[in-house]
Amino acid sequence: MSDARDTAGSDIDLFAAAVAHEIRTPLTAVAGEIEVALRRDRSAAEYREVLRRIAAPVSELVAISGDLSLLSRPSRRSGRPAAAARLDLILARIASRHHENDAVRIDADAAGLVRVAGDEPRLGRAITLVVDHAIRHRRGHATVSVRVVTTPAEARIVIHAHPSGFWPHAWESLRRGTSGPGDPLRLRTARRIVEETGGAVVLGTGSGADVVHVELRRDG
Amino acid sequence: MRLLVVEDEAVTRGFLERSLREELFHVEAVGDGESAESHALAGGFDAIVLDVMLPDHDGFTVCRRLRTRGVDTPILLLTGRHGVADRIRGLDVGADDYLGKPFAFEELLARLRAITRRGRSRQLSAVLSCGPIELDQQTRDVTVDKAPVVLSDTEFRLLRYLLLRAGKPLSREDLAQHVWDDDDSPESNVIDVYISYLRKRLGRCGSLIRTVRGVGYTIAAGECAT
Repeated sequence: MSDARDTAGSDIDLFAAAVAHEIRTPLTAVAGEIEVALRRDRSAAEYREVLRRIAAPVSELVAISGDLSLLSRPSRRSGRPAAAARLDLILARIASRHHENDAVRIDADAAGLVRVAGDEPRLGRAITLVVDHAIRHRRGHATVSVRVVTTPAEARIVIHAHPSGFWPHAWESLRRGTSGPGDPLRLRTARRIVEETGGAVVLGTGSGADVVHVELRRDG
Repeated sequence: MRLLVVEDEAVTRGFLERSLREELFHVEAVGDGESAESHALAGGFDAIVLDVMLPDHDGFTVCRRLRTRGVDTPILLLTGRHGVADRIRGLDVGADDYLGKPFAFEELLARLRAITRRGRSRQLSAVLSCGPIELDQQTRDVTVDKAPVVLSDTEFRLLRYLLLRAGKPLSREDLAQHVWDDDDSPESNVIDVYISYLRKRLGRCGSLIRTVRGVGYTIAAGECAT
């Protein structure tokens, strides 16, 4: 009993540390931008620019609070989700976020109109989190490519970094197969969302480098 | 003053770049440990602001690798991990200071001023010596009685670390950690072999490297063998 309590306590510590780290990063940008903006008088245009810059980390903090409330409730994996999402639209939105990044190639059009099971904004968040994690952990100057492979039952998003792949620890929690309390919050959230639609985020191999698959059930 | 900023999160990196430039620093910013090492090894920075959580190697590893390669630039570690153990680890791997996120920008500036002051005084003693042995950290020249001595990279790092801590007994573990790379951690007999090589290279002054029974080695001023 005591061992179980110790394990639970340690899990909470690990989870709290992972959350604190995720929150501190955008908070540093917000607090820092405000402090620096107020260090001297600036023009109205400069203040507007500061507010524009702050918007992104504030949105990230809002998204993290949504992730935390999702993770705080029991997982809902039973039954087929009522909602359906347009995968091509989700990928198009992610592609537009990265359109200036030469190291990212997202083929949003190739699969045509694809409907998958799941709530579109929530699934969009999950896929964004996986793609962002892939971009952050690509090795050297690797290019991250994102494409969709479909079968009548499934739509599979294939995320690949080539030629040099990802850093070995990048997908450690996928390699382990189970979620742990100290796993990066973003990956944990993505897995939860995808698994609740009946899908999975899994590690595959190909071309000598890691490939990550987001497997989604097709709707209809 | 030239700063190297190492931060993987683009938003925070952008904030640091802009804000430090506004304070008239010359800033170069990179987002991963490998780029940080190559930039730092190229030299010319007055200080390095190094995030601990990087996508490839963590900041502790980068910091230690730079120190073992002889990079003496003051390093300020930046991290979201506030635990005492992390702070101690950061200082033990050779960082000069440690600042937790989120931080006050004024405090970052004050800490940069402090570590660059310390860095300047350290640079004044670029030549390390013990008796007739002299090692110039900038030119990498080593002399004994003013006569040049040729050392391999590992021998140079070993002598430099002994001289930086002259008079203090250093364990084999300590030497392994600070002289060899992470990927290349030596067996303790390899350290003994390198000590033996170094003694031979230093000729009659090799005797200044003394074995400390039950601990490891130290270098201390004294009479060289005749």
